[in-house]
Amino acid sequence: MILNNTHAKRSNNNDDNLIPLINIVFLMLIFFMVAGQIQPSDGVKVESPTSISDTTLTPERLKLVISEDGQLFIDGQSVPKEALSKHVLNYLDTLSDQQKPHAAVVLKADGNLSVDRMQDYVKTVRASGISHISLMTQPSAQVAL
Amino acid sequence: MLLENTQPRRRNMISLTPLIDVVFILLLFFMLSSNFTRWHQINVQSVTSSESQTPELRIVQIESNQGEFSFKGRRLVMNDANAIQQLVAENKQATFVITVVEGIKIQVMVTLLDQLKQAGATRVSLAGLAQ
Repeated sequence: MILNNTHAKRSNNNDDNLIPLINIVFLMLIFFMVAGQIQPSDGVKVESPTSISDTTLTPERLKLVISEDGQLFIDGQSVPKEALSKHVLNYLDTLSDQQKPHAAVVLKADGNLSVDRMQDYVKTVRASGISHISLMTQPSAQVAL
Repeated sequence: MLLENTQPRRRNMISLTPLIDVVFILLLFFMLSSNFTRWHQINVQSVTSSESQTPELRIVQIESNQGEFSFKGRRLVMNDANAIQQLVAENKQATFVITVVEGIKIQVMVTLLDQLKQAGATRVSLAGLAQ
């Protein structure tokens, strides 16, 4: 019995040693929960162009992902070119009348994609009735001069 | 004495290890799925929509992916910061519109836009995109 008691005491002591560890792990957990943002995946790897632009991205808009080979992805799913206008019109339908004039599309295009291939998509979006179009960029590591 | 000893021990019977396991799994999940990229944007708007009077348009055409561009028949290179600064100084009130020939990468276009802005151009447009 006495031996058993000391065993129990030892295990308690082990647990006590774990508490600082748990404190740190909890801190890291809270940091990642608060500071990190969880975003839905794009469906394809896209390396956005780097820019010094300091306009922050406004959320709540239709996001078109265009891969390096010119394929279009919406909500992580590949969408044929011809279906884009339908998607844009569907997006407009989800908005209220007040929101409609402010409807916007953000293009997340690969920096290595040629501009003329992206132009097709821009034209289609314009023709479907959204004129607020912006290009998503990431801050550049060094200032280009 | 015996009773007093057994009671606190029983309270501590629950091991912390499963708790740590779960917390570690949560930590791993948040570490792997969180994203720290701060996204920015460049607006692609037509030039006339934002201004009442017709602005002075200056068309800058990018000719190659190596950074050559032409402006009023002059041929310039993107890395030449002095030339770009001079170009902007000559056309202070103008709105620059960037157009491209076929096959120019988006990154090249964005870089030229950045350089024009850094040289002091206040109004640079990517409206060429929608033409």
